Amino acid sequence: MKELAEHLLDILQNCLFAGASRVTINLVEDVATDQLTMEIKDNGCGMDEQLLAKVLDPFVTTRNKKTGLGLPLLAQTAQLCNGSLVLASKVGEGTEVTLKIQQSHWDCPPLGNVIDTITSCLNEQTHLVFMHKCLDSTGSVVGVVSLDTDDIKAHLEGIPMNHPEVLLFVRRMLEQEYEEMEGRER
Amino acid sequence: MKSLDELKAIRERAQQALKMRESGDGVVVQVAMGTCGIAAGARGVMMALLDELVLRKRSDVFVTQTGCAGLCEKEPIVTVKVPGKSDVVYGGVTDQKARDIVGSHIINGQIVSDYVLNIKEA
Repeated sequence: MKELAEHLLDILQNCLFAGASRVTINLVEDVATDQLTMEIKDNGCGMDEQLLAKVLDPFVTTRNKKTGLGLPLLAQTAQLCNGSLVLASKVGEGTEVTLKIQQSHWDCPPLGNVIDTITSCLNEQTHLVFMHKCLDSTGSVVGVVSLDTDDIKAHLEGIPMNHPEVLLFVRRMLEQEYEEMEGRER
Repeated sequence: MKSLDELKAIRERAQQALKMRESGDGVVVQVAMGTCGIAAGARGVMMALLDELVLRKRSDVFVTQTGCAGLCEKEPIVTVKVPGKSDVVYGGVTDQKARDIVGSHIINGQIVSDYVLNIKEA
């Protein structure tokens, strides 16, 4: 994968397949620790201990035709970049994926296009809460981008969330928030 | 919440489009979004499809996602489902090819044979 945002999309696809009705994504970029933290939490079907123990092995998948390479590739990237990938899961309760990675590391892929990743996973059934925070060298929050799909759904009156115009509206909204965040950082 | 007026206008246009869809005229476009598809650029393809559909004012067309289709080397894979016609599976789709598929197949009804992987008879 060329971008961390593509890994994020891959994990989000897993969340959706697990039947999650709520997915929370937290991205924190901390200048002081040179660390990017990506937390993805869902309330899907979860995994039992047996599956959880081998899910980072290549080609392990519960789905037909799937490659089973998404999480192993991300674990490899984390390991290369002085980071970690931690999975916690309980059957019937959901799964939490936490990635920590050293952003300045030579092998660390760029964060990439988070906006398109979030936009392309929106659907009618899933409540998605997204927050991207940037912390400066003192640990103060210098920028936040957030999205709660329930805020948008409240105004749609039956129009599906994955309607092309709604998706592009969300994309524009996120682009505007990122521009504002970059303006504040400068 | 930014631009509620804009969202309201979208809602009104979409309600019209949904009526068309309920009458059975709706086209569905599926993008395979497995790990292999994502790595091959399916996200960009999906955004290009959405962008082109809105540009051409075809908001009655729905873009959905599926998992890996089992032909990883042919990703990104896009399937166009037109009611009453055969499903057409396109492979090796790029952002530009996605725009061609919208213009030629969805708007003008002409299958883009250069990109076709398979046609599933209706």
